[in-house]
Amino acid sequence: MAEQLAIGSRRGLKPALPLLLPAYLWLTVAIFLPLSAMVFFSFMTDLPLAGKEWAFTLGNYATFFSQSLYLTLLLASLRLGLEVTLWCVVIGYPAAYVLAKVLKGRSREAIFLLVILPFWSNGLVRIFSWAMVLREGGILDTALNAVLPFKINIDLMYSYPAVIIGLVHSYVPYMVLTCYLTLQAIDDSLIEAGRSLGASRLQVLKRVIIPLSMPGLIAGAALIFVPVVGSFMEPRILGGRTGTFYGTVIEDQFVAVFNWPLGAALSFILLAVVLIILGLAAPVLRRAA
Amino acid sequence: MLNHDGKVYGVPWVWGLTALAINEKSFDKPPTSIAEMWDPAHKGRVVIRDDAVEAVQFGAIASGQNINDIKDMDAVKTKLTSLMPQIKTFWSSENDWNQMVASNQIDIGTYWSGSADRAKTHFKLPVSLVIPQEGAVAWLDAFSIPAGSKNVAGAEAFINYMIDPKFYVEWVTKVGAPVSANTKAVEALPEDAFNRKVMGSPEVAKRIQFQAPVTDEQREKYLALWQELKVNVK
Repeated sequence: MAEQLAIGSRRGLKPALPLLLPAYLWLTVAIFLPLSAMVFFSFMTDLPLAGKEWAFTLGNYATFFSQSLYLTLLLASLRLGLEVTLWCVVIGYPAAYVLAKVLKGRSREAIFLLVILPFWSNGLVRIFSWAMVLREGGILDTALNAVLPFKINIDLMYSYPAVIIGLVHSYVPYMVLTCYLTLQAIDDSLIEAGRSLGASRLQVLKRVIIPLSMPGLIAGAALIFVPVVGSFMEPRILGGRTGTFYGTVIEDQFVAVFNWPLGAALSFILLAVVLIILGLAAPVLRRAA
Repeated sequence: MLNHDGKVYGVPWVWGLTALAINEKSFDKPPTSIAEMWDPAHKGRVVIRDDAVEAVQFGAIASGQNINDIKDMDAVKTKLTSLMPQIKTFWSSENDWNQMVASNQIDIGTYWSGSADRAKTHFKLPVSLVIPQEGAVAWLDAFSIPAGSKNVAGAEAFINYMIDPKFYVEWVTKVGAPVSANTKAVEALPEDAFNRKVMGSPEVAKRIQFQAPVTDEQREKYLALWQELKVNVK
């Protein structure tokens, strides 16, 4: 492995170019160009449609700072991102551990399939299914009341917990997959060595398994945190009265009032904040890893 | 708007109302006032559409103003602010509304006339439309052909088909539709059809206010107000 890497780096980038070209061409056309257009829009007073007058301005960015509304929502969205990521770790990491270290053969394949299954269904369908489960008189409410001897009333629909549940469900497979990959790569003999040298199971977990699987945890957290902060579909459908977040406000600017410049500016402020957070977290996380 | 400076810019197609609709199970007799939305008895069982323009114009009617010339924006804001604690959720599609009525989660809310009729006649839901004495927001959809179109004849044929009484009657009976702006099409409906009996009544015509075009500035102002209200409710 190390030898191969050495050969690769000695040959330089040139032979790799034909392999990289399709991906980078695609990224340029599909991501970089539209994104650049959005950066451009975010500095405009109006969209140049049907010969409308427009000029360059910083006003769209100033709007963010002139009203406390946007900051409040941004903080609410960041909190949402942290909470969802945390729940994904709590639920996803143990599942990934069991998949990587406990289950073998067919049972592993079966469980793995169940983890990936949500990826095969449309996101909107998943959210609407949650609506049926969570509402008063819904599947969860009816099922629990049929089993429990006392009467409880479960109406989670249109609430903050409903948004969390919907988002965690959508994103937990990312955490399972990234952690599974790093956990699987841990040599069992390291764990056995730790145990034979007198470490308790908890110590092995803390000193061997978690540090070695940290890259997977970090990758999973980043994959989840970033899209959740900008999410708008789940809050809108499951959140009800409490479902206004930074993502839904951006969506409104594009869809409801056709104010692309402000929508784009708000998006790039979000991007900047997320990059700053990841940048600040990187050294800490690297040391931990 | 469609007829400007003696020139025709479009063909009116269908119109309807953004009024109130109720869950019949929650009322012995239908309410007549818009104030019912603010009744503490319905706390947590009221819905309003997630649309800034509709919400602000609804607030204008509730505070006794002209929806196209809102003089006292503070009154609208106060009205809507006091409505917020009543709200269960902001609906965005007919499906939202109908599901919530079907599972008996709401009592009353803003709704479109055509959708309320469709919910009752086609989906057999306990929904009825209420056009409050204070008024309701009326909207009109129209067809226009962009300047420089390549297939004008095709576009005209399409418009003729869409406003044709035969197509309209089929649309109303099979799917449920708003009120046609073509009087001949409405006359082709049965006497007791909702779109003829209720929507065509002169009593209703007196109370409703048609939406004039909304400028971009107004739209953005309304959205800012609406977002502020939604954020403060959190």
